[in-house]
This record gives sequence, C-alpha cells and structure tokens, in this order.
Amino acid sequence: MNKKICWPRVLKNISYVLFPIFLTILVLLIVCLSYPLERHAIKEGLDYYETNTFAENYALEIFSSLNAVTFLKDNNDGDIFSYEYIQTEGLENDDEANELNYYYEYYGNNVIWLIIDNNTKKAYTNLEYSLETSSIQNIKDTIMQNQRYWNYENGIIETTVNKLNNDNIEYIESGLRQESFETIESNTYTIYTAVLDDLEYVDNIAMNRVLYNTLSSVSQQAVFAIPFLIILIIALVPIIIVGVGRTRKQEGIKLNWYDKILVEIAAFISMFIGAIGACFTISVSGMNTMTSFVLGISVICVGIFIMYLACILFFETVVKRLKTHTFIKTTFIYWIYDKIRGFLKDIKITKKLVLYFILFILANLVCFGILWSNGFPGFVLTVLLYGVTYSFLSKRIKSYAKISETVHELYNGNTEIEIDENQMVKEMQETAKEINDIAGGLSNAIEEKLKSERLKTELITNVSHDIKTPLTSIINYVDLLKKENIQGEKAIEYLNILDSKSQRLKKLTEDLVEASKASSGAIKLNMERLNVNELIKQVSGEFEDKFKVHNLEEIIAFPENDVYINADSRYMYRVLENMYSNISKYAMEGTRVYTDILQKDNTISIELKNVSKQKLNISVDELMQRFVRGEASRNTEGSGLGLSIARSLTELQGGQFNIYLDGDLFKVTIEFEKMN
Amino acid sequence: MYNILVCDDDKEIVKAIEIYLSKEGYNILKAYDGMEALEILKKNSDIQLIILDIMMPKLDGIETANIIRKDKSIPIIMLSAKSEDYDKIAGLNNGADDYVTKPFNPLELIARVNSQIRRYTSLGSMVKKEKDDNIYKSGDLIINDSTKTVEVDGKEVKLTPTEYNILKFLTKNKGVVYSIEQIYENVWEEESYGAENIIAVHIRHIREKIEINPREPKYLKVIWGIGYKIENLD
Repeated sequence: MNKKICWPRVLKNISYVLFPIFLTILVLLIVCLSYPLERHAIKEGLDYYETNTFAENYALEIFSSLNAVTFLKDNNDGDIFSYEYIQTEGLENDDEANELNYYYEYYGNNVIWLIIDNNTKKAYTNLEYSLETSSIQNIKDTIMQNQRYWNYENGIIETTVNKLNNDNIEYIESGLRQESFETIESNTYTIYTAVLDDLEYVDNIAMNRVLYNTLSSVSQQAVFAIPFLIILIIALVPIIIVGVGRTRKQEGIKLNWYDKILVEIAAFISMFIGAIGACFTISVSGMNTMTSFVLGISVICVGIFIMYLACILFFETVVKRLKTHTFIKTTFIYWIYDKIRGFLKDIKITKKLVLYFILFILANLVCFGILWSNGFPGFVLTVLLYGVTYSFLSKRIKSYAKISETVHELYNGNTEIEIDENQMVKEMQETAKEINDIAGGLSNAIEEKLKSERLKTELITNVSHDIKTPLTSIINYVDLLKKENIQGEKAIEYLNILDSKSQRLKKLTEDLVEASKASSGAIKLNMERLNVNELIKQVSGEFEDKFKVHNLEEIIAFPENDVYINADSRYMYRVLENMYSNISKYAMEGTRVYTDILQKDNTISIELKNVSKQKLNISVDELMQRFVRGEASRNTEGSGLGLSIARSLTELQGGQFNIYLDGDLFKVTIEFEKMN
Repeated sequence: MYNILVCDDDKEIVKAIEIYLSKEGYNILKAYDGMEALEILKKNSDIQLIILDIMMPKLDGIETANIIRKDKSIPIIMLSAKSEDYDKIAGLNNGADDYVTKPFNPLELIARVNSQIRRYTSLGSMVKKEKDDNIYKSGDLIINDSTKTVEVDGKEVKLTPTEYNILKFLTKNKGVVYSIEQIYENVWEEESYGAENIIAVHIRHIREKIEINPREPKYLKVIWGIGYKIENLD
C-alpha cells in the first residue's frame, strides 16, 4: 500500500512545473501580439534589415556617434584626436582611451563607426584596437567589409540600407534630431558606419531582430495558442488545489508546522523569501554582451524561481488551512479574539460586570467628547452606544427572567418544563443547562415512583384474581355445607366462623385492589357538578335501615341553599359509603350521629360526628394507616382499609380528608372547593 | 326442563354451580374449556343458557362467546374473577348478556340464571303487552297501571303504594334523572321541604325488591349527588 502513488500529489507537482512555463509562454505571446511594431512588415514577410525598426535604430546609432564626436571635440583640445596622432600614437593615453571606452560602453552596440573631422583632419572611431596598428584605410576596410553600411562623404550618402539613402533619410521618424541632421548636412564630417554582420552585442538592433523574427514566426499560431494556454492555466489551478496537502502515507490533509503558525507569520516568511528572490532579479544590470546577457537572465530566472517558490509556499499553506477549516482560527485577529474570549470566560461574572461597566463609562466619555466637539456624529454615536447597551442588558435580563420563571415553575411541581439553552445569553447557558438537568432528574424520579406504584397495583390486582378463584369454591362449599343438615352445636358454630371469615377474605381482596388503585392514582375520574345536599340525602337514605338496626339516630344539618362541588359521583359515594358503614359498625348503639354540611368562604365541608363504641386509644396517624382499625380486635367484618381508601379517593378528586379524635368523639371532615 | 351449559376450568366451581342449579330444577351440561363448550353446543341444540368463565385454557371465554354469537342467540352469563369495569364492558361487548364476578353469591347467580331463562323463553309474550296504554316498561321491567302490578324478568314484584308511585313516575320518564325534590314534588304533588331523605329510603327499598343485586342495580340507577333514574333499556 505504501508504494501506491498518490496521484493528486504527483499531478499537483507536475502542475507546479507547468504553471510558470505556460504563464511565461502566455505572457510572451501576449507581448508579441500586442507589440505594435512592424505588423505590416511581418505580414509582407520582409527581412528584418528591410524594416523601419532596423533603419530607425541604425539611424539613431549614427546620430548618437555624431553626438559623441561633437561632445569629445567640445570638451578637449582639438589636437588630441588628429588623424596623424591617432595613427602614430594610437590610444596610449589612458584617459582618452577611457573616454572612448565610455562611449563604447555606453552606446556599446553593433554599429561601428569612423568619423573624420574635415576641418581639423582628426579621426574618431569606436573601434578600440584597430586604431593602434591600422591606418584610416584599414579602419575603413574593417567597416566596409560588413554587408550593411552607411557612409557620408562629400555630401553624398552611400549605403546598402535602402531606407537610409538620400531620398528616405529625412523621413526616418524616431530619435532623429534636427541638430544632428544639420551637422551632417554641414559637410564638416566624413562618416563611415556599418552594422556588424554577426550582431555581436546585445543592443536595440539585436533585440529587435530577435523580437522581429520571433514575432513573425509565432504571430500566426498565437491567436489560437492564447485561449488554449489560458484554459490550460485555469485547468491547472483546481488540479493544484486538489493535490495540496495530500500525501502517500495517510488519508486526508497533512499539516506541518508551517501550516500551524499564524497566517500572518507564514505570509511574512513567504514575503521574506520572495524578497530574496527579488534582490537577485534587481541586482542584474549591464547586460550588454551576449555572455553577460545569458548570465543576467540566469540570475533573473533564479530570482523569479525563488519568488515562485515563496508564492507556492504561502499558497499551499492557505489552501491547506482552508481545506481543514483552520484558516480563520490561525489568523492573528482570531488569535487575539480567542485570547480575549478565554480571558472573559475565566473571570467571574461579578468581575466581568465591573469590566463591562468600565468599558461603558469609557465609551460614554468618548461619545460625550465627540458630542461636545462635533455635534451630530457624537449624537449618533451616543444613541448607538445606548442602543447597544440596552440590547446587551435586555438580553441578560430576559435570560434571567426566563430562568427565574422556570425555577418557580419547577418549585410548583411542573417538572416537564425546559429552558431553551440557545435563547440564553452565554453567561447563563450553563445555569440553564443545569436547571434543565435538575428538572429532568425530578421528572424521572416522579415517573419512576408512579411506575412502581402502578406495578404494585398491577401485582395486587393479579394476585387478587388468583385468590378469588379458590375463594369462590370455599364460599360456595361452605354455603352448601350449611345447607346439609349437620347435627351438633359446635359443627354449626365452626361453619359460621368459616362463613364469616371467607366473606371477610372476599371483602379484603376487593378492598385491597381498590386501596392500591386509589393510592396509586390508577383511577379514571369522571368529574361533574354534584349537589351535596342531594348526595347526603341519598347516602343517609341508603343507610337508614342499617342505622335503625343499631339504634342510631342521624341528625343532618343542611345549609339553606343547595351547595355544589366538583367530584366524581361514584367515588364520592364510595367515600361516604365507607364512612357511613364505619359509623354503623363502630358507633355506640343508641347514640346520635351528626352530619353537618358547612359552607365556608370557598369550600364545602361535610362533617360526620359519632361516639365510638370502643375506647379510641390510638392516634389519628395510626388510624389512617392501612389495616388499622379503631378497635383492637379484628373479629368484625371489614378490612381496615375503609379510611385509607376514603382518604385516597377524596384526595384524588381534589378534596381534603381529615379525622379528629376527642375522647370518644370521632369526627371526619371531607372538604371540597365550592362550585357555583 | 331447561338445559344449562356450565363452562369453567375449575372443576369444583362447576360442581358447586351444578348442585345449586340442579336444586332449582335445571339440567346441567359441563365443559372445562372453550373448545369443549363449543363441541357440546354442536351436539346439543337444546340448550337455553350458558355460564362461561373468562380465564380458561385453549379458548378463553371472550373468544368462545364471540364464536357462539355468530350463529346462536342463547343467553350467556360471564363468570369471572376479573372485576374491573373494563373487564365487564369487554365481556358484555363480546356477546355476554350478564356478568357475575367471582366469588359470587350463589343466590345472586341463581336469580340471574332464572331471570335470563325467563327472558329467553317468554320473549314472545312480552311484545303483546307493550301496546297497552297503561303499560310502562324498560327492558324486562314492566309496570301495568291497570292492574297496578310490577313484573321484573317475568316475575311479579310486590311494592307498597308509595314505592309503586315512585317507580311508575320514573319508568314513565325512563332515562331522565330526577332529584329527590323533583320526585317528591311529582309523586306527592306538593312542595318539598328539602330535608326529606324519605325518598332515598324508598328508592333503596324498591331496589332491594326489583334488582337482583341492589348494590349494582340494572333498572333503578343512583347517580350520587344528582338523583335517580330508570335506565332506558329499550
């Protein structure tokens, strides 16, 4: 697997090489096409030496040489450059040689010349060595042996360059100065000039020849090549971008240390490297010979190459950062932002408040300052500052209000409530989350509790089913046995015990299910408007016979008007039935039983009072416990669940159930909210 | 002699029911699960009542009742230890005519059996009576105002004149709930003084006479805290 070639990377590197090549070609082509020179000549397919460019440059060189001679003549004693002197003495005088060399260097070019002052008979030339040994004639010969020459002798121009002959020279456009032309016309000088056949030096003539030849050779193809190259270059960009950061060794983008430092520092490093490259490029000068030209170009290329590398270095790190989404995070601005945020996060909210307050005061002072010195912008700034401050404060107050509201709800038992953390300001998000967790925990705990109560009820219900079936047989066969004509007092007594106990067991199983259902709330309530007077009349009617049997007299105190409560009709009867049945069982025979319906401000209270048959040596709390009855013995009917069921059912319906004991006085109050 | 099919997986319970009902003069056929009950039904077309337990192996009571109801209208009494409201509703919705919870009172069971048998065998004769203007009825509660007699499930019931008047008033207006005060004003035709619970006592007595189980009345219903009504069973 390691040997596998990472194609994106390879393609990217190839693209890096191709990119500058294509770009250079493109630039050259564009330069070529946009070069205004000699379009006509190129079209006609003329040779370089027949073009105006060549003629103009040649002419410029000729007049430059004349200027040089005039300059030398004006600044030196006339004798120095006499014909004889040059011939015999040569250039032994270093200063003069240097002067000439200066011109030679300065105008260092492919045009060689010999100019003779006809008045002083002094000769001037840019050919350095031939003056030492050769005669004027030799110099003339050297010049004339080149194919393209231009001579001026006795007012006659003799030339092989058509554009510079007598008829045309006046129309040469570029660089010609009237002064120089007049110098020639004045017939003071005899001039011999020629263009070196091999164009040994890098000057305008040579450069233009290269340019002209290139232009004429590429101009046809360039029109098609340019769009093609542009497309190629554009196509390289995505290839490079895809390849950046990919390695053979691992999937994804590989970041090195350079990709982790701040973007600005990376940019600075790249700029520094680029600057080094730029120094190379700038340092090059004086490329007037072919050798120095090649050397100079090489140095420039190296410089450009270094700059190119610097560009690649920066480009790659930027692309890699963008790909891994780390660009913003590695900028200096983000770094500062992060530091400030970290600082703010760590300090306490109280200290933060002080910080904000100081900031506000400072901003306020600045605003007032501006307001005082410069009215309207200051006013706008102040309004803006106050607006921002208001929004800042109101957001926090809103969050606080929401939290306090939620805590209040939670306190009131609404565990389903939840704060939307995203709507909170940052400082309070954590608190909001913690409150949500608390609410969730409470809600879960309550749910668990309810669930376990439900399970308990279910268990009790199921067990009671299983008890009921054998119990059915017991009750039925005891009954059948009683119907058999059994002799013996004891047998009959035992049978009666069996009968009463099996009946009690039956009642117990029923009450057990009901008690567990009532206490776990697994009861479906059907709440409606009940008339309490009617209810008490109905129930007391139901129990009148039983009370009579026990010689109990019920005295009911009704309110003047009908009073109503919101409750479940069936379960309300169950509550009262339990109470009345308790009274019939446990009230002392021959006493009065009081039932009062009392109207209070918002409540209706049913009070049942009776005198207990037995001594009530038991507390109210104990009495309310399941399976506890007012008497010590458990021989009578009843399960002991009556009070517990009554209380649970009352509370389920939203009422209050209380028991008061005062000596043998037993009082029960059932209180409900009054309904209109 | 009427044939009753008793079906329960508890053999002792079946046996006990057999003893009770035999004494009443019924012929008992026994089955111990739903499948057996269906087979007996297939063989004997002359069965007037079925007593069916719910929790049984193979085929439970609810499904058995469903299957029987597809082609037979024999009355079915469900007998079950399940005593929740929704159990009763499920039983009655699946073809049962009555629902008795275990452990049952033998006398109550016998009364219900008698009632169902009477209903089932004398159904034709009731239709005639309905046309009379002086007849008030709800289901099998029939009051004949001409003869001042009350019949429940084909059996005559003796009521005192006051009880009779209250029952007649409620049956005339069956389905409507009346408070104690309204009943008083309508039956006595004088203003009520409010404190009477005498109506409640009478109602209690009527229930004891006309209902098989006064605690779970079929005809005379008590809506606690609101009033009383005769259930409209037609």
